[in-house]
Amino acid sequence: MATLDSSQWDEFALSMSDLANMPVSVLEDMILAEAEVIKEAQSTEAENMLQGPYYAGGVAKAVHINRPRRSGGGVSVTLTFKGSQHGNALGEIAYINEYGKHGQPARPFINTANEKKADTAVEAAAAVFDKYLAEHGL
Amino acid sequence: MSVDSRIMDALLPLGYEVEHGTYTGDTASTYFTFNYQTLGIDFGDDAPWHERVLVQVHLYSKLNVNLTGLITRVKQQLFEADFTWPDVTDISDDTWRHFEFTCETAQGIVHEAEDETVPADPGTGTPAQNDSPEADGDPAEEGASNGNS
Repeated sequence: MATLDSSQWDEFALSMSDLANMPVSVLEDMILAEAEVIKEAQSTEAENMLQGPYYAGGVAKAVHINRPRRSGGGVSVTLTFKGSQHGNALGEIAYINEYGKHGQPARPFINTANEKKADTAVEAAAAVFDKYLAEHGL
Repeated sequence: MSVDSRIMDALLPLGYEVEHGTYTGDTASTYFTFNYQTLGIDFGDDAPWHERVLVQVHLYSKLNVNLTGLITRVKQQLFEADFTWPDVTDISDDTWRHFEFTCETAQGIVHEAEDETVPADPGTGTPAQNDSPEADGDPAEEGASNGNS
């Protein structure tokens, strides 16, 4: 007859307690790890997709990760395009390329980059989380 | 059926011009353009077996055109053409109304089948024996000829 044995409940409860007390800095590191992957992807995709007569490489170099913000019990981070080129904000140039306008086709390098690297970004965040668990014997 | 054809077939019944990329006409007060990116997925044997198609459909019109009903119909038409239900973003500026419909679909990839049959001997019509030293060939050449390198 099979026997079920339960033990080490105290250790398990302690582990769950440790997990619940995980510092927010770990969440920030996780979201920043994701952001780094997406930043790199957006730069690469901008290099690939925005080639043309007016291309000067500004958008690809302008991807910037802002400081993480705590919101609604979680942490979020935004990526923006810093600087200007040809007298226009690089954010505006990126926006028009992403969505297009009358007479100019869309070149959705942001969405393409995000979709291509979504899984890799999550894996980068998971690696940070795993490191925290390992360091705390969880 | 190609993605282009599916999008065209979905939008043309709405009665407006549809172009891939940039609208090249100059008279329409309302028109559609579309573009898409493809991403290889479901990798096996070093090759993707499906691809995701990320579609953007753009509805442009002059500022004085009422688009409320048309926007709903575009979503329905794309959905009925087996695209995902589109997300719609209003990105109008002060000269043109511009609505972007984002949706996606997936399609299978047909790889050239590796030729595993042995060519028939022209003299006898029977399969040629493939055990001569010459038949071993150069692996690099084999890779180059199978269409999958």
